[in-house]
Amino acid sequence: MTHDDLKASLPAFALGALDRDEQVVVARHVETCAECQAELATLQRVVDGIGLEAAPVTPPAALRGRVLDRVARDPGTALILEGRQPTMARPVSRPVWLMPLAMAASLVLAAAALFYAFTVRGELAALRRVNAVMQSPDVIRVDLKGQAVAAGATGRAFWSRTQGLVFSAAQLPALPASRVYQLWTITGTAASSAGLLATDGRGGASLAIALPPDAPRPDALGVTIEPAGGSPSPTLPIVMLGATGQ
Amino acid sequence: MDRAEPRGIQAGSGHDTAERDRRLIHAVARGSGDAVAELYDRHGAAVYGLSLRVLGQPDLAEEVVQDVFAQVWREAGRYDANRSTVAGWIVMLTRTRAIDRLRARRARPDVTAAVPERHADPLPSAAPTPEAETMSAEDVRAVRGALTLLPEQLRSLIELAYYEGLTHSEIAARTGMPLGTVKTRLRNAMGTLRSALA
Repeated sequence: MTHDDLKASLPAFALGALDRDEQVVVARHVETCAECQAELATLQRVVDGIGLEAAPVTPPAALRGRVLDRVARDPGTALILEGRQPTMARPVSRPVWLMPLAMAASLVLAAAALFYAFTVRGELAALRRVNAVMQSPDVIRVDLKGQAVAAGATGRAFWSRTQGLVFSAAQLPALPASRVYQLWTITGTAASSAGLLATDGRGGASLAIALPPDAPRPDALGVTIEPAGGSPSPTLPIVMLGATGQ
Repeated sequence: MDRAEPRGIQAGSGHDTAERDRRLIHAVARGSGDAVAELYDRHGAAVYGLSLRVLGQPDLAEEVVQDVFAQVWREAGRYDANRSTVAGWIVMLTRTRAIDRLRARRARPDVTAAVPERHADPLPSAAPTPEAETMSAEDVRAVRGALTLLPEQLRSLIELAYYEGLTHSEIAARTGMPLGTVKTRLRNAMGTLRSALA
């Protein structure tokens, strides 16, 4: 097999999906190929991400004791008995007013782009929503990156449970009339449509919507290409995607 | 007992969490039982959730949880922050243990085709991955997002490989798809997830 063949097998190698003979051949190649080692490191992040996607389930309460008993009996390492309950780390929530200045500045710049888009279209209601979302204390920003089918596309969204979702994108490739861009909010493994995106002549698109009061905080936002009229769930290529920060 | 509810894997959601995990794993390597307990409280629900997803049986999943934390206890000194976050490492151990049990339960003849266990048997690396390249919380959301947006036929192939530990040939046999189609689709699906990483 050539280097290119072997490199093409790395995604399956990282997943452990190669049949045994191939697995051995690829493993040997990776040992001596720096390029494939680097690629494999990235693919292993993907595989880690798949595992982290599984929903956590609270284990039975008694399991904790069994786990710790087993560790205490394990001859692997000498257990230092510290004779106290473990200190629990508590989640730390970061108040919005601690938002770094740089982020606040980028909010203003991004807001300007959104304001411009809606001003051009004379959409006053949308402008008011942009304003409200930007000023909301619960606003989070999501930057979306173009994927393989539209590597140059970029997008930015601001999400506030109380004030809504505003989104703008640039450099979206033109679509045939039978296709449309659709924006999705993704929470856990559920994708929920945030609406269809109409592009202007230059590949720009923007959207401002209200959210239902119980809208879950999204983990990510994505744009896909769907049949005209949109789809109830995503079906076609992912155009851009971005995960929420903290 | 003053105990926090177990939460999901803290995939380095923020620097503080990943840093806390690293401190804990180093404390475990020095023999701290308290640190194991805290790691359990932080990641036990994710380990149990993933085990349950793979095995579908609570009793087997509980055994995997015990195996995983025993292994964390024994091998904390081998954890390499240059290769993954603590959360990513624990997930990898969990998947390996869970699929081992799945295969044992099925009593399949190909138990030797083990999932690669990169920390137990690390591949030599000429240029270690920089710390910044390890899995961040944002990566996890991005991969999850891409996985959610994948068409069902591609997502199901990833799930057969990841959660059931099936190889290309086994997926072809299970689904009735030609082997070449399985290979191409799985590669495309992984490519989509890979492009989601920032």
